[in-house]
Amino acid sequence: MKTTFLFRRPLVASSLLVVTVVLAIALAGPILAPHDPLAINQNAVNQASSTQYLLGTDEFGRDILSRLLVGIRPTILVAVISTIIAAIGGTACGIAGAYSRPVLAFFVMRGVDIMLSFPAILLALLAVGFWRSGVVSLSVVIGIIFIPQFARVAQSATLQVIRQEFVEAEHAMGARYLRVVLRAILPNILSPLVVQATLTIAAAILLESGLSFLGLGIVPPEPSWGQMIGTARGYLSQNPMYVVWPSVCLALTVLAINVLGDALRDHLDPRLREN
Amino acid sequence: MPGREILRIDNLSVAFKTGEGLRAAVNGVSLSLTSGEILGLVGESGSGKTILSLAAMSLLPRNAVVTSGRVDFAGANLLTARPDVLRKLRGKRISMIFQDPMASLDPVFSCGSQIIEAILLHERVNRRQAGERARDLLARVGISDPARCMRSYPHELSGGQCQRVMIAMAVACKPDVIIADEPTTALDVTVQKQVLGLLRSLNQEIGAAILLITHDLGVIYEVADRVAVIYRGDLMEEATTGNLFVSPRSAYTEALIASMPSVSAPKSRLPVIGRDDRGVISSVVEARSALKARPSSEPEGATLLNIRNLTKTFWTRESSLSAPQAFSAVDDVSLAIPARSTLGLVGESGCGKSTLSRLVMRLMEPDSGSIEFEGRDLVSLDRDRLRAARRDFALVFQNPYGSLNPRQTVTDLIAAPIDIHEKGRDREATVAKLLDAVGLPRDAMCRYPHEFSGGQRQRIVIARALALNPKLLICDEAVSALDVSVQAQVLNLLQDLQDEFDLTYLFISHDMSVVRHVSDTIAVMQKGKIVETGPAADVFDNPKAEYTRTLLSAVPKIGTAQLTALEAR
Amino acid sequence: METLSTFVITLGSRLVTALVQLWVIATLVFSIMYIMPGDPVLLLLGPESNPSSETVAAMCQQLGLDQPVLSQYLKWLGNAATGDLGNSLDGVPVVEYVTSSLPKTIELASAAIVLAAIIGVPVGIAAALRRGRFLDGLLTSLSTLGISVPVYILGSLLILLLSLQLGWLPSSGYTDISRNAFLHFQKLTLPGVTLGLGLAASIARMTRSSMLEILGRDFVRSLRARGMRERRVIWLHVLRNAAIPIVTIIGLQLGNLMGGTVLVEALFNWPGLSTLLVTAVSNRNYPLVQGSILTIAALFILINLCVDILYSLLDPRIRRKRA
Repeated sequence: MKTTFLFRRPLVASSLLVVTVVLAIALAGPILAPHDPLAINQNAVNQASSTQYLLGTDEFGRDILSRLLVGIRPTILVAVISTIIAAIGGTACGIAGAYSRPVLAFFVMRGVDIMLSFPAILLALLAVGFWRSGVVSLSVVIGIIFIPQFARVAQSATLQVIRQEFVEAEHAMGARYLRVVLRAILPNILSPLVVQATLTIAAAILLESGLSFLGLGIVPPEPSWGQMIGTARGYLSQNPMYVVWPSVCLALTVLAINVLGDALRDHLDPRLREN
Repeated sequence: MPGREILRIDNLSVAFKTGEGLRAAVNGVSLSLTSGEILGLVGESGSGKTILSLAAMSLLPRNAVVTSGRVDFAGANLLTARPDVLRKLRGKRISMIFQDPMASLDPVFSCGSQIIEAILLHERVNRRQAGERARDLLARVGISDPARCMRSYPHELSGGQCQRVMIAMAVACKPDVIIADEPTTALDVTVQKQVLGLLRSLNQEIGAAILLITHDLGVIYEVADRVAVIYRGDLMEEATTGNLFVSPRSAYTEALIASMPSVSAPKSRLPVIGRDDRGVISSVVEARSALKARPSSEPEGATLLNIRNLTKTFWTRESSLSAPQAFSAVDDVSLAIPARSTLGLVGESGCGKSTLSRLVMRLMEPDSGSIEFEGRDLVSLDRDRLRAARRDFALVFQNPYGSLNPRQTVTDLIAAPIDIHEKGRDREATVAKLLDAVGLPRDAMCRYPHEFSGGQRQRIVIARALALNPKLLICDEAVSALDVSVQAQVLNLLQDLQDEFDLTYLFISHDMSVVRHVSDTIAVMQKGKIVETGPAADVFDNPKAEYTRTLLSAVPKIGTAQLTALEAR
Repeated sequence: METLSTFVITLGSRLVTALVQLWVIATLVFSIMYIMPGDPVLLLLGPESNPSSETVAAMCQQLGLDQPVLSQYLKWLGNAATGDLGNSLDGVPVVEYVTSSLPKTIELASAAIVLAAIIGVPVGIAAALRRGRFLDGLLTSLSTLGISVPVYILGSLLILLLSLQLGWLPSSGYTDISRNAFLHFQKLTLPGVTLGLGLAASIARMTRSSMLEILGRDFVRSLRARGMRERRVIWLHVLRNAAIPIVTIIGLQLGNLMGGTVLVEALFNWPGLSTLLVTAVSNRNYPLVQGSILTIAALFILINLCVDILYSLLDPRIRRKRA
């Protein structure tokens, strides 16, 4: 069934391919890079594509292709770790907000509302600006920032589930709180959570690269796609392709994730289409 | 009115588009509607009756398609007519009333503006005249304050009022045909009586023919001139109402009528619809599976459940400005159920019977009163002892689709009480025995709920309720969501289980005939109070309370007295 | 009369919620200085300087940092409420910086949201009405692309194409409208379009799904059964019902909008409030950071409040009765 699902929709299949390639490169890491991404070459600054430097060089003469290949890893790491943090924290908050003692629920959801009332990038800006940059801190900050969105999704899904009679049946049988959460609620809210996870991965990539673009995320000399685009902004007239390569890679990756997310949503629950 | 054929459905076939191709919903059905008559189209869920009516109006949903046939009305084939022709006919010559009245009205426009709009679509009048006509129509359909109704939004009206608004819109332009799809299913039985009466009087006044679609044979009996029976997309039979009930020609119709509780003696075994291997349908009275002899009709034993002066009040407010008002859901209720008997609790929606069941199950806290189970007061029990006490009573819910966790296997579902109270000891063996008791195959154990039908799911729910050998079973509208034939099977099962396991039932329902069939004693509930209690036969044959009499007279009945009146017509 | 009083009560409660939210953020903002590692005074004097202990003590007293934290907090809160946001590290009052950059951000954001609504809503409606057909596929794909391309990438590519290659529009900077109105709008174009297109894609997607959801509801079928023209069904009834979720969607996009201004202002050197904030954060200019965040938060909360009110005006179910 799965294979026909893929073959009928070439867009989904190619998105899956893109994501797999990206993940593979992220895992493989620096092995694939033809040059050392940090190696400076004063003689070959801001060059266009050549046989030696396939995609050209940046303002320090470093090979763009190598920096692209190596730059995937921190982005993907941050995206995945932050999504995990957001998923676990958000789901817990969401379930608590819908199904727990009223006082706790009230405060949890007000906290979520307040955090949601503020744009993510500004929060990230502040946190990273005052704390420090780097994969770990970025993951934690972005993860915490995306908790409220997960919480919202988890809360509304939980509210729908607890209205069903089978949850009332559990109460009637004398089930304890933990059993209801683990057996009745969690398995039935997985679909919207999985969809939200794919959305969050895409959003985390965008947020991290946005911060790096501003110079606050992954800082030089470590390469990151967003950072490269930010630096390339200054050399648009000299080396236009410098901005194009990382842009295309980033856009393609996020697009692939979004397409997969849409397809996943359609597949898991036809009633949740395109929201 | 002379009978000329006004709507003709000819060999109509409709199918659903699914992932695996077309699935037939209606197979070559032919019907003819004569002017001025009321034709009832009766069938169970999934029989195709709604899809048939939607196809006739060319209002099929995206995933359905007409595969053959024609629908002739006013000189045009409605299936192939041009959009502007169709538009002129719809609402003016042929109109439709749908099942869920509140969902069928636009929520962001007032009712008045919608009725006026409906009138202005087809009649050459100005807005003021349309408004007057709308008010007249509302008064005609029984709305007590037409001006207020005009100003109201759909969500501010009750279900019955919304349906009257829909009817007003449907008859606004004096159509020749009205198609009414389950117009009273979502309504209380007393409101249903009024709405059906309204349809009948409109039929006589305007002379509009009505195609009345329903699953309720009682409604057909009271209102329809002719009946067509549909089963799984096929037309089984077409006859006058009198002939249908006295001498049904098709085996399905016969079996369907026979499985209605109201035509069988109380507490007897209901015949069910059987299909043998060749697909031949017959009415079958299944053999009793229990080994125990049926005890005498006198309920013996001490009182198992004794409810005394139970009260529960909810606080609601009209708007955030007005003071909160007390709403007595359960008002000083006292009931006693002897062991191994069945108490039927009957009342309309909102009377508090569900709240009462939740109070007995201690899912809600009463404000005052006591609930004594086997002499112990449940209200004063602390949490742990209450949890232990839960083994002795269980609840069977109304909705077979919502009361089972879709992500658990049948074993997990039925063994849930065992897992909770006995840490899952011997679960497989117990589940197997329970499946046998409720008549489900053993291979159901590792399957998921969505693989079963409504009736089978309800059996799973019952099996779960029996897992810890409870003494009391509360059935809250347990068969209300089931088709008549499936309902018969489940009612038989409940009776067998009562004998086999020495169970006591508190059977809650709005359906009088079902309650009459299963109960030893009956309590009638209205607005939170018990208005009458007594042995079942007494309450039904000699009702003392005014409300009981109203309720009984509102129930559509199949009886010989009315039968002769129809035959005389 | 009942309608008016209900409305006032609703308005009042929303206002209270908004003020509470603002207060919470203000408190968090205030505590930034105190939860950051390091001595606040040293932070304020600047990480590079190496002040003597006398200077530190004098600074401490001058800033009132030797007072208990609670009184500092209350003083700060009182000042903020009256519009005094303190002085930035270079001595200039924070309010001056904020009032000069805030209008520029509002202008950019307004241009973007108007453009986004004008493009996104019709696209979403068109896609929903032609569901399953070519136009729908095309528009949906474009929308998915639109939400995937980060706003600064779109901006960079637009600069590359329209500014550097074709020379049609300036690539960065800001010109005051009083000095040269034409140039002012020219410079507004690229940043506005960049920000607006990304938002338009989001709005289009969500509009489409809202329209589809409403088109599938029972009352639409009833309207057709009454013989209503399809045009009237869609444009009067369906759209009026869809207005509610669409307004909500646009309101929700304001979060994306503010985030987007941060990046777009940086990309195009547009001297708005977000640029101010980023610079302040990079320079550890705490008073300026506090003032900027507070202003942005206040703006944000105010806009959400307006959207809430608009929403309750549109939906009679909320207006007339608290369900």
